[in-house]
Amino acid sequence: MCPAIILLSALLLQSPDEADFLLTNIADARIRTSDNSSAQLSSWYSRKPIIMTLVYSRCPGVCNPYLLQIRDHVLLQAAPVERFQMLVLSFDTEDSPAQLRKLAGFNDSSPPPPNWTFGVLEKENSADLLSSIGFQTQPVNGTYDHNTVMVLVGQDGRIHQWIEGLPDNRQWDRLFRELTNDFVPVYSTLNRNVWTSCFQYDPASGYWKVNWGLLMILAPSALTVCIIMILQAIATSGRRKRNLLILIPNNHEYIE
Amino acid sequence: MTIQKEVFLVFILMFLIIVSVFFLVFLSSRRSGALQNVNSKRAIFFFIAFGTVSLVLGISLPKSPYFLYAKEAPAQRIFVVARQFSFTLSKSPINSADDLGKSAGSEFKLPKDEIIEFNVSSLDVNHGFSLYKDGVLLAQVQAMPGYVNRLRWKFSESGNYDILCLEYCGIAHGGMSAKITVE
Amino acid sequence: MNTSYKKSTLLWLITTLIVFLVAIAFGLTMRMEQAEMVKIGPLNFYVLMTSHGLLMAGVWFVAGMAGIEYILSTYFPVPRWGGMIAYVCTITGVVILLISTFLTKFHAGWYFLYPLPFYAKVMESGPLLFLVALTILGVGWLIWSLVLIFTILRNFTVAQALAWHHISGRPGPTVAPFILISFVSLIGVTACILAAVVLLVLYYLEFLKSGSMSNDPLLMKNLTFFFGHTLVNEMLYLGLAVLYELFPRMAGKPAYKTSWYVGLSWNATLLIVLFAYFHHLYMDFAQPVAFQFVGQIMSWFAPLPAACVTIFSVLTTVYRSNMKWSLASLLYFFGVMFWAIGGVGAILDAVIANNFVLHNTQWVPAHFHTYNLLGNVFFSLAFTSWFADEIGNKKIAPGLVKLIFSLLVTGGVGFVLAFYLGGAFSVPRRVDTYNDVVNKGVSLAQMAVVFASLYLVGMVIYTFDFTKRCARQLFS
Repeated sequence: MCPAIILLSALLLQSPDEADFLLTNIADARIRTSDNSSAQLSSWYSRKPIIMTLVYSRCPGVCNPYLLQIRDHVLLQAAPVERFQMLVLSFDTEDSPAQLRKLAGFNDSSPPPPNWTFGVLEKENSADLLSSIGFQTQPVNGTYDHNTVMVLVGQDGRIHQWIEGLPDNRQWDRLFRELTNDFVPVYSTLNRNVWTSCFQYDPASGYWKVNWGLLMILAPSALTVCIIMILQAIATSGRRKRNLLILIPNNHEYIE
Repeated sequence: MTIQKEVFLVFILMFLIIVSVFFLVFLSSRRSGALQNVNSKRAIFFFIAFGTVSLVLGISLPKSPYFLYAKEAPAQRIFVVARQFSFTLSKSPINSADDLGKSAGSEFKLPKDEIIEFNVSSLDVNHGFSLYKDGVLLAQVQAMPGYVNRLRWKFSESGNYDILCLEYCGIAHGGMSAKITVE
Repeated sequence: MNTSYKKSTLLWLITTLIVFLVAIAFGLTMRMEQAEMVKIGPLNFYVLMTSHGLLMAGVWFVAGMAGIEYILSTYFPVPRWGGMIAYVCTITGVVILLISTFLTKFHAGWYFLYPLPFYAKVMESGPLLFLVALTILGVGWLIWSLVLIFTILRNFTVAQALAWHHISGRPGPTVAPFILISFVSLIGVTACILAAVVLLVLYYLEFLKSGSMSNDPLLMKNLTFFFGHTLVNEMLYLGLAVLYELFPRMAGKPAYKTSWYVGLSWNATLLIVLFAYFHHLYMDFAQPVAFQFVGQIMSWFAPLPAACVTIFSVLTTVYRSNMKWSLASLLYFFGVMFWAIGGVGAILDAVIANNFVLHNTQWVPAHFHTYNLLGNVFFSLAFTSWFADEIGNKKIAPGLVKLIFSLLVTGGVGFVLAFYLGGAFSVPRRVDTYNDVVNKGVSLAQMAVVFASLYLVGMVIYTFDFTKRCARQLFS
């Protein structure tokens, strides 16, 4: 995992929101994982990095399709199971881990992979956790209005990636590159007042994007070609006017 | 034998070959009788050169440092920030001058035979981050402001290593250094 | 031949030789500081380093251009004002440059790598004066280069000047290799000066906006080396263009012809040279790997066409030629040899895996001093010597030829060898004193001081003799 992502905070590609959470500590909340057992969040992330998302099973809105999409992506990725843990939490204290499991489309005949955990936030410090990851929720007529947030938490208990809404492909790529420790040669921490750059590089996904600053490097050559063409045009018109035999000194003869 | 010395020997070998060829041709200039079949000899000369270049490129490009330990997980990440005229090494990221207090200063201990990833950047001008062992340059990467260059390296020997600045960065450039102990 | 061409060329050459002596003295002082023989302090060291680099690059660039202009004027009438503007700009630029380095103590190095100029200053006016000096030089040289290009284009089309009809075998006017190589080099020169223009504009913008706008260091580094690398590369080719014209004459052979392969190789060179500069950024992992690979591939293919064709031509010209050697032909012949040797040093360093342990060690000054001090300078001195024989009343004494030639070769080889050894022993470049880690640098610097002094003595004798034989022509 790369704690250096804090240095990414100024990366042009990122939404400014992510910068607010990168490498900040996640609140160590208590999680109920079944009717009679519970554990601190740190007991997961201290062993392996966790991908964590929050839903609630009574949700009439996005929670179900959102979770299914997340599930499909995580399962499809070739990221090794032993590298990370997937944590699906409910912020609704009336929820149960079994309901969450169902919400994610798992059942006894197709059980979740061993690195998946479903849990419900205990009341006492759920607010701390929610605010530490920027999860906003508001009760409305027995249900909740909420945003969707997925975070990657490293073994140091800090947020290494923060994604609001469904992750796009680049965000997924970045997530799994971080998990598999792929070598990323560089990342950019350019100032915001940098006028233009050669490349925009998303270190985590490894995508290079050519920025228009690269034109500055091409400009001299392109300009040279233009100048040569202009000079040629001027010279040709001059030559037509002269339109005569040119004798060159030193016996270099050239007849036009 | 270090890479530098191998390169030097190859260079001296080529130096001697080129000097002998030119010298023989120079000596021959006292006589007359020009070369025959110049075109075919030129073609042979060119194809040998072309073949050598292609061969060298094929062998050397994959050995570029960008691929050093690229698929392995580093055991540690060390954050290096260069400033006029010092290096700061730290186990946690350094984003600005405010973070420098968290660092361990310019002396640092690292484990042997483990992959270390150096995350190298600069807070002011361009610097060079280089690893020296007993006066031999082992590896380097530029420290460019606005970018974090990552270099993965495995220390195979224990002992003291020197970090020198290898990009001219101003008046005290020559004295800009730090130390690492590997054990 | 119009005597005014001769006079202006003579003026260029004398100026070049004098500035060269001064710049050697700067370099020698730097090596003496590193050898712990004098004590000038780091600030003065870097002031000298900045001046030395720019003066050397500038002086041999204008020497190459002066050679091109002179030979070109034997083909076609060349407008005189281009060279005159360039001369005035060069002198003004150099004076302002020296003020910025010596008086305001600007010391960011010849390549003033962004954002160092904003830091490496003692007085606020230093960086600005420096940039103004570069602007004046750039403007003068750009005009000069365009005037020479225009002269060629008045007589040939672009396609003809690039010898495309020689490559394809179609009928057309005969284009001498000199015209082709000059044209190719001048295009390259124009491109790299324009890169400098872009670079300077970005610097000025940042100056004017003071703080509210900053530049991408990676973009600036690319522009810096596009300009810097290409300029020193092209100035070698300017010298070669003149070699193609004069060397066969010196060997008593018919003039070189532009055959299809000569045409093709110089067209290839025109393109390749523009991409080779990427090798300056190998250790910037921020540059995409594809660019790095292009850098290595282009750096390795760059010498193939131009160098191979030239080396082969020069060798076959000399082989059993029964030629009479003069200082000029000796300098040309062995200049090509040292150019080849420096080229080997260069391409070894252009392997990314080697560059990992050679970048910014003394290997770098080793290779470029080989093909400047012993290559490009030899080409220009060869032209100078030939020119002196053309216009002077007296020939150079044979004993003096041997003395000068052996001093230059011994001094030059010993001097660059100290640098190569420095590279092999990981001694960093651009440091004023060597710390305990790289203290081998001290004895190597002492070695370099001895040999550089020999070279300097050789150049002093040469300059003295040249001035004695030719200076009168300037006022005749």
